[in-house]
Amino acid sequence: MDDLRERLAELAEQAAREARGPGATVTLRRARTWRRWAAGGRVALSLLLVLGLGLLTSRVLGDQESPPQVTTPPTGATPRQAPPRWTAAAAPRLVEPWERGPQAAGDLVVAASGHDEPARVRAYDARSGRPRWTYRTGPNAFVRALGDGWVIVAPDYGPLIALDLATGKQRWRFGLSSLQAAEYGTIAGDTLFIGTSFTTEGAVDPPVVYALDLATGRQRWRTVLDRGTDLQWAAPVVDGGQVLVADTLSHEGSAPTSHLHALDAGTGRVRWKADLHASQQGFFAEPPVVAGGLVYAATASRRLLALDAKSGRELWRARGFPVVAGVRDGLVIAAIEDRLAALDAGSGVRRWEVPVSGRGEHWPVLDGDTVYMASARDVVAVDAAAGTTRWRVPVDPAVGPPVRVGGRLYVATRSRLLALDASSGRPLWASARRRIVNGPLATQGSVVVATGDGTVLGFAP
Amino acid sequence: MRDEREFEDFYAAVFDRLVGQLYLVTGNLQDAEDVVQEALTRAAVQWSRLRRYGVPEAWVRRVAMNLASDGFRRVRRRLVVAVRLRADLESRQTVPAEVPGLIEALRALPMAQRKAVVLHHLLDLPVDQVAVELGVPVGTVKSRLARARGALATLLAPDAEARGLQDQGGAGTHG
Repeated sequence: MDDLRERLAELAEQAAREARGPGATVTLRRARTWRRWAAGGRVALSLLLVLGLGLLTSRVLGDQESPPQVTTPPTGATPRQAPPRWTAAAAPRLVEPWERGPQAAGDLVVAASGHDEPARVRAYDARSGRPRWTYRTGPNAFVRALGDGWVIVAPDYGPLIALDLATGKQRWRFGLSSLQAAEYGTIAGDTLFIGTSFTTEGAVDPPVVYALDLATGRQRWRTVLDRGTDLQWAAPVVDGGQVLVADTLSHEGSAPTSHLHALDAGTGRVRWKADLHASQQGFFAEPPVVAGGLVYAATASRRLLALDAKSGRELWRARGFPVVAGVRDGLVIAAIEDRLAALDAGSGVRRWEVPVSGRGEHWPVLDGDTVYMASARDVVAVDAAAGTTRWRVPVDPAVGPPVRVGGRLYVATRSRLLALDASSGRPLWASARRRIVNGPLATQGSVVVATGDGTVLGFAP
Repeated sequence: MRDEREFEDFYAAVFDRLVGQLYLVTGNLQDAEDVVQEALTRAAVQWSRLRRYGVPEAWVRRVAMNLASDGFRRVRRRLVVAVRLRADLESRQTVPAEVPGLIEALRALPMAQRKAVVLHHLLDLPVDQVAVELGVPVGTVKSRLARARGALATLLAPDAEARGLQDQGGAGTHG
């Protein structure tokens, strides 16, 4: 990654050395001309031209006439410092924050090196951090699905490789076409459901969803979706005998809109597809949520849609980009832009809302009767039924959803892993300051985070 | 006059640097110069207000990034009235290839991915700030960065072996 940064900087510097412009004097002269035009009263052609330009750029200027955002990380009280129980070197540099971090399966933590070389998938004992196995692949390595004794690995542009979770031995591989990129998959029963997209510039080849026999890698079915789309980042949701996969435009203008597709889990037949009313590209890591016969899906047009799970019929929609935490007692609880909100599951009417601190990513988690949400500036615990705030603790920006284990809530921020008292928010301990990119992951008596320098750290809870 | 002197200093300080950054987005030096120049002209129009923001360079970069989109460029080329010195246009579309293949690889990415790469990898903006800059959800930035990295890894690999289809074949070792 540093290598890419250096190469980009070098190229930018070369271009900067070659740059030629008319200079500030000419620019100021043009600006004065613009201002005279804008002052009005000129010929109609000039006015139309200015209006035309204004129309074309209204979005640009509309956004930009407010000051650019400058994030100032808040500082909270620093509690007792806790050292990691174990430290493991996972990769030369671990996956970046936008990649999936270490994942838990059985008594192991599995981590992949992403785009860094050499490409490796490694499994560690979750309690001790002791390496169990390493799998070499190339030119890069991602864990696409995990569970039920299997690890599904794929470099960009395939093939899919199935490993035995216990040993790291390859069991089968499934070839993909040139430039066909594997997305994240879901293991359900004896089947791997996984989608693929053609993600290169200008590609309009449709995504393909596969159902593969987990034991053999044999294809059970494949379903081709709509041209001009890519699959969402989230893995398929398997529920009620159907597989839900959402798509988005592969690039601007590549398709009229995006859809949520419900495929028959046994045959791949399309049972229904629902229009997500999103004519622009937008990817989400969060999958649709199914509860009480409804599907709650986020759209790139900044809506939360509630769809009938059997027919795909839209029942209601709510404005704002949502990250759904879960559904409980007839309430859909979601972070929606600058609010944590509860919507009536049947009607979408907002029942309560709590302001969210700071812009950036929100990580809401519904845990029993409490919603914990980590955001850019704080962690908040909210009563799920009433919407009352139980506590709020300032922290640096979080890098993942908080995890509760017993009476403790773990929050991974960009700089520390924090343990808080789940009932009061009182800080119990914190890791030493490091650049954390993924986590936390609670498994087998360890709380795990990954750092930007390629290290996996396991802490005693 | 003081405003104009300030703008002249600002222009001199940022023009080359922004062209360098935008070159990675447009993949074409002339286009990079065009969009930076256009953005700076807009900055000059409202300089007295913009200078109070404290970070006018970020504003200009954001405008230039937006102007770099294909749709606007096509329209702008029909409207533009500025006179340019284009005698050596053909020879100035790319800079000397001291970083072999990188600009070609960047050009192979969708524009949206290129913008994310420049903001995150070159300018070190965290993902959530890139999302604010580009006006898209954080997940979209992550996806674009992930896909850009995947494509660049393939495109910049020394030979076809980098293709997943020629995957080296796994080998398990036990620790």
